[in-house]
Amino acid sequence: MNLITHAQLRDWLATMMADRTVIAPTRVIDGLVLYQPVNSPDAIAFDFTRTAISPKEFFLPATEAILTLERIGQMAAGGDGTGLKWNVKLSEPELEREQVLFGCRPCDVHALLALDALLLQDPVDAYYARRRERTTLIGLACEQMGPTCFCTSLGFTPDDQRGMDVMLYPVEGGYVLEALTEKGRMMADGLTMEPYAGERPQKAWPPAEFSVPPRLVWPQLFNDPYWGRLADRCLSCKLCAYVCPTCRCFDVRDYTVAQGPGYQKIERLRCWDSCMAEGYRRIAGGHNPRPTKAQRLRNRFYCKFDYYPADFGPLACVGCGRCIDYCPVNVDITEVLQAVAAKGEALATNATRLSP
Amino acid sequence: MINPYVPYLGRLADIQPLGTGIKLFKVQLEDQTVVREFTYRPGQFAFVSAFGVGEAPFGITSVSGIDDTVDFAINKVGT
Repeated sequence: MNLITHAQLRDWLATMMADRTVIAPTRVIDGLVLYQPVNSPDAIAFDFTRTAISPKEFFLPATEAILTLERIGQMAAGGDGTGLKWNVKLSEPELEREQVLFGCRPCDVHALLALDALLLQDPVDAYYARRRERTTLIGLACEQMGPTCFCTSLGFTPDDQRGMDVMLYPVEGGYVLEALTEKGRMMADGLTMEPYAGERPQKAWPPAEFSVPPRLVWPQLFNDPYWGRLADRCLSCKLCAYVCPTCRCFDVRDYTVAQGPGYQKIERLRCWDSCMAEGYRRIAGGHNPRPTKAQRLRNRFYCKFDYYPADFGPLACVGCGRCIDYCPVNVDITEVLQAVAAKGEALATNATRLSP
Repeated sequence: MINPYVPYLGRLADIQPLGTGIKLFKVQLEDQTVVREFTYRPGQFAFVSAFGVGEAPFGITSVSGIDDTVDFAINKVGT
């Protein structure tokens, strides 16, 4: 471990910016901090708990062209004079520059680890994988938890270093720097820093106020009227999915961008979608397995705490609390988790009472 | 790394009407390596693209390794 001063950090960032896109927290307007590409270390904000929206857009953009298709028509031999034989040329987007995500928080990196469980398993999502590979994660340990943060209920702490390439722990005069991976070591190579011989500066965080109910509880509560009551106030605005670091559903559509005789250029775009949308699960023919808000809102929680971990391992929630901050009708995921846990316990107690 | 979002190109070899609003589309895949190596089991579906419109999942009607073309029996519903 090393000690890096504020001045040394500034220089390091400036060097990085020369040949990479550096994405860092920036204060857009007072009270709003977002991850954005920066051109100068002065643009970086350090006093924030976590950004308003997650940095997942740098790995899974809100909109991205996944393919360009060109349809070229040629007069077919032996055709009737107006007959065209169409040939299609497919091209994939150019790879972007190397990226550095500076100042990422443990919750957002745990979210990437959760997304990896799906997107990096066979068949690998090529676009996510390329961005993930070309990004160096330089983490910044939190000094305090925000009012809606609950990462400690999910089994990690605000200074957890898992998933980071380099971890920075704020101390007097600068940061303790720990390079954790080969990528991280290469990034920190050549930096002038003092060695640090002390303990890794991790704090004793207060114990979690609640824990996530076990997966087994969820199927038992699938038909509980709680979901209907909760959904009464949901607006299906999809803000929760928008700000969430683990939501990853998307829609794919084609758009014609250029057209002429015998020529058509099409972009195949994918963009963020959300299971809160009324037509999210509607299929051809009109059938909709989730026609009510109750079913859709229930799905949000079941996906995060039952289906995703059943299919891929990790929970699809990292306790960042953004959905709590931004839901316009105050649907609070921590209240839901505690209600589910309480109901689960009630069911278990009744079962014990009823068994011979 | 194989990009699963890149479709295999093919040409419509034949279209057969099967009933009211139902047609069988027989697709001849262009890449000979794909023709040899692309196998599938009953019940699997493929994302079929109508370039310029988009792609949607359709169940595969043909039998892998027996038929020369990859076939889709499609009912005219939806958008």
